[in-house]
Amino acid sequence: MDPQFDEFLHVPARLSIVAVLAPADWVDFGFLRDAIGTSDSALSKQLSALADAGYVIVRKSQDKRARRTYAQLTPQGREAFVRHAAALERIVALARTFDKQPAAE
Amino acid sequence: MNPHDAQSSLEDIRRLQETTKNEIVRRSFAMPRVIIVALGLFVTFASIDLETPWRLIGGALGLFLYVAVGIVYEYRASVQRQPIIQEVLYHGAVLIGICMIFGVGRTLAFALLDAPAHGLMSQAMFGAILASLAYVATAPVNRLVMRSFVQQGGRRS
Repeated sequence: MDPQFDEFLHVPARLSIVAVLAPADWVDFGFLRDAIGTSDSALSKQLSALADAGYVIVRKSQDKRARRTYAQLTPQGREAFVRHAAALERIVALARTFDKQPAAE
Repeated sequence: MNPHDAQSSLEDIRRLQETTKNEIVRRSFAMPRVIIVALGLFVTFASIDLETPWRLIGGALGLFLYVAVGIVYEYRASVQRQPIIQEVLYHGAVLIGICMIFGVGRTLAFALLDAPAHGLMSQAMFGAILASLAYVATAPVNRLVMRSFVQQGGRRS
């Protein structure tokens, strides 16, 4: 197994959350829930796990109309995501190399 | 971890990142926002040839619309993101371009329509119409440029 592969992050729900958060600074809870297609409770649970691991920060703000929750990747979370994505790329690249070898011979 | 699962995870990551990026671009040049910004530009430019205090009131109102719509949209955005320096420079360049179009419109109003230099239906009014229409018309191009900036910004992640 690639040493950069992050077992904790590879849980599909967690990886999806981190992937949505990566291009942004702060992402609204509702947008995150709709983007990954999950329930409020499942998202809260995974966000808590990510926050406990130091990968995500959660911020709550009081709007005039509603209470809004935002999530952000921490530098540690961003680094872990980049490393994990690179590990996945290497696994795929390695498999392609093996696939091509018989044809080359 | 087998390669097929790794490939599938990478595809999911790319798809989800695109969802976030699409939202950033959609929000940046949403049509209601473009129209209010164009209205702000129109009011600011059109008031240039008015008498005081209407010139000041119009200028302040136009500037308020221009700034307020940006603040409200960013505050209420589902996806918040710091703009990269190229984006800020591009927005500055767009604004300079719009001012130049205003100048051209004003000159054309004087040369072709013999519009007066003062009053409501003055050269500035024609320049303002041309500038605000140009801003709305270039929104699809601005959206494309914004998308390329968001893609660039996305590469850091």
